[in-house]
Amino acid sequence: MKIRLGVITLGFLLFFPFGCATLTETGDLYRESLQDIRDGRIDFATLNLQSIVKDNPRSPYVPTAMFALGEYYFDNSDYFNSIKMFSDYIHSYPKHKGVIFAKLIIYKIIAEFKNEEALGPQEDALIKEIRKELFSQPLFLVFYDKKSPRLYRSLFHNSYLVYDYVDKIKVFRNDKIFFELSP
Amino acid sequence: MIKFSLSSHHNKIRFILYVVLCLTLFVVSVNIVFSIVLNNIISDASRIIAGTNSFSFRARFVYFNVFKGFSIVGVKLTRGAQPLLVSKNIDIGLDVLSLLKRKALIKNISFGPTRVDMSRVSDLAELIAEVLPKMDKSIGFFPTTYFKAIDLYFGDIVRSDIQGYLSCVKGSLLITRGQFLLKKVSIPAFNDADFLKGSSFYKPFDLVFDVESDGGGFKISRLEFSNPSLKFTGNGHIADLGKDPSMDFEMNFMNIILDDFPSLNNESLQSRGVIDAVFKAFGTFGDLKTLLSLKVSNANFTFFDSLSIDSVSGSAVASRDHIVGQDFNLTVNGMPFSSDFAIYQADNPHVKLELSSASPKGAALPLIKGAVMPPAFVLDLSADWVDSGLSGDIRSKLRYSSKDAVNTLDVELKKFRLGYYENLFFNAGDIIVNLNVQSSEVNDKTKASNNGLSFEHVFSTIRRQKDGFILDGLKGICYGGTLEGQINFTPVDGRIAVNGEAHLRDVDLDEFFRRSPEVQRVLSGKLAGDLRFDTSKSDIFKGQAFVEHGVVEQNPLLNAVSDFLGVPSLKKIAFDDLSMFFSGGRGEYAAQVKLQSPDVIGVLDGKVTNYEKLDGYLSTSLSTKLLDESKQFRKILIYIKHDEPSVIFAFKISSYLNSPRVLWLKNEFKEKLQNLLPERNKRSLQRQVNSMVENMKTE
Repeated sequence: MKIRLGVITLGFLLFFPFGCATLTETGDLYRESLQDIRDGRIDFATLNLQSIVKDNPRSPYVPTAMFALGEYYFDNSDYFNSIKMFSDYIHSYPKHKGVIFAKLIIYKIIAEFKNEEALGPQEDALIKEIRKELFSQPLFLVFYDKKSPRLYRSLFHNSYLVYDYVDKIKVFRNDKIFFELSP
Repeated sequence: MIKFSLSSHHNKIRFILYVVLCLTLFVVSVNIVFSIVLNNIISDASRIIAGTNSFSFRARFVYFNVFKGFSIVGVKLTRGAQPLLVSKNIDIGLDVLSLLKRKALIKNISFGPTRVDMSRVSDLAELIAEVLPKMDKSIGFFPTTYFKAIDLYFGDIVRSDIQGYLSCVKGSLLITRGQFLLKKVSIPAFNDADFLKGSSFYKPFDLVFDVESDGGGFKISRLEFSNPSLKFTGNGHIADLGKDPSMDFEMNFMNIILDDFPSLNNESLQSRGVIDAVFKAFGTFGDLKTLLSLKVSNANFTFFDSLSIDSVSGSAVASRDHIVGQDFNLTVNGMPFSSDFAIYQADNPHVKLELSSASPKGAALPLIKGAVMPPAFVLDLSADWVDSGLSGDIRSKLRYSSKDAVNTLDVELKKFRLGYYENLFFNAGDIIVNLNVQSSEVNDKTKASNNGLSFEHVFSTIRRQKDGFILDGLKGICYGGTLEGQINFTPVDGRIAVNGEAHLRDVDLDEFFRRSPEVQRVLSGKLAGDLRFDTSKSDIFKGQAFVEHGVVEQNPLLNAVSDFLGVPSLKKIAFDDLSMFFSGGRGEYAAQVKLQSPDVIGVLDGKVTNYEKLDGYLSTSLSTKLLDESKQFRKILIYIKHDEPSVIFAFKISSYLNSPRVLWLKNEFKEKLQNLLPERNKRSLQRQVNSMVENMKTE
């Protein structure tokens, strides 16, 4: 009996933070956002995600929400807010699995949507840094011409795939070529 | 009759002799008496002078000559232990008529070889001001007095003759008219050279010197030296002679034409242009400051048909033992420079020179708004002038930019000598050359590379060419081997471009790595190579290098292949021949490297762009015997029944130098292997390789 009580107590203590999160207002907002996305109410979902990021910065949902918000701005051609959101996300959660993809989207915005001649020294330095980071890992391709892909699926159900070749990186979004990058 | 006549004749002679004897006795007596009197007067004068502020006056003796006046022999005037004026003799002629009026008026005064300490002229003025009022009023000057000085030394610098008339007008105005002849000028820093020899400075000058008594001082209203070629004018003021005497004097030496100086225009040196100089003396006599400002306008110098220094303009200040020049603009063999320099006297004349190439107008740093482009070439020289040549150290920087990087070639010459023997030449005990590549981006201070080379016992002649100059017949020792070559410096679009060639033989790479501990040892053997370079072109370098019987190790690419194949011997290969052909510059390089050993033949053909991006192919032929070292490949070779003496592997290499991406390219061997191995094994092998490569990165 004592052992069973101890196990229950330990289980409660171990799972309490997660369980607590799911039961909090942030959890409700997050679930509401997911429902809005499923129902195609993207703008409402975005409002909820903004509330999570703004009001509960310590919530475990924040990194996913931030990436989704960056994507939302990107898809609506609000590149200023997209870069801002992705930059905050990268700085706040440098080890989150979406970071590399956030950098890729920033790279695409700067390199493709902005006039290259109008790039300032800082933007120029940033895209060089991103490019260098993407190619920072040595690679030895033996029997295949590309490495197995890096993958990320966002809240808005966008899937990102990154393929490393010997002389380039190919990025796919929802199985369509998103952009290609050389060292 | 005859007897009488003879007697009369004898009487006349006797009479004349008697008169002559009397006159001689009279003259001798007068001379002796006056000499005694004058010696007493000189003794009085010595006492008067000795009573003044630490001055002393001494004369060996004075003698009087009724026909000439009197002479003072062995005159020495000192203050403390330092002599102010030393004269062999001073001859003074008196006005005879004035003597009848019981006054001694000096009508002419002549100095024998006399030495005046010019640095203490203020002491002399102080003495005159103190002694003159105390002197016997019976001694004075005739209204117009003739003066003359032969071999008058002003310190150790100037030897001259001077003569003329000195008149006192209205009791307060002193007018001097005469002639001045400069005989020798010795500049302390260059005792063995007399720059003025043969010039108009050594032609007689007409002298005008007007001084007016002005309360407690003097006003020098006019001091003028002029001859047909030169005219120097000055004026000034000496104040408070009785109390705290001070001086404010200025002399202008205008339009000194360098063409007129034979010492600056001879077989080895041609000079053109104009120098203006202003000499100033100011301050109290106790702390008198002197300054010579020189202004050079559009002067040209050609040295030994090797260096042409043109359009020299700038200002310099000279003091007793040094000359300092700042912001001189000039062109050296057509290349624009600005320069600061200092020459001062140490054990030998010491020269410090900073020479900077002038930046083209509007030149600015790329990427940094408002930042001015630093000079492309800077030379910092510190040397002694010994035996008509310069000996010392030189540091120089040659800066050139390419894209976002700034390349700086630092060259340090230790114990160099620049001199002339049949040609202008230089040699140096040691030359250290460093190439730094640094990003010019605002916050990026990272050094992309820093490669140094050292040469010993370097010798070269310097010759002028149409534009720029050439270091010809360059020879030296480089890590036990030899260096030969030549370097041309030419102006291109207002900047200095350097081009030339170098040939190396028997360079000991072991010695290079031993003396360059910061460079990782990757190669050993004896290197021979040829290099051509031109900083004005995009392909700055082009060359070839050969190493025989050496060892290559610690090479990241060979390490990767060694790990991939599982053949440890590939990490350190003893080769028979290694050849390299390379070209490039400004971060873009192309190279072909071929290595040959009994078990390995490798050819790398690649390009490096932006200093760090790599793109190329590596083809390696490994002996089957060597592949036996690998457990995996031994099995594979047996499995595919490989019976060839060697196996060829081809790779494509890409990405960054520090994180290369390698793709094993298809060939007969790979295809055989691919067909035989099941997909599962291939995936497993790829995973193993990935893991191994990633671990390499983290090591």
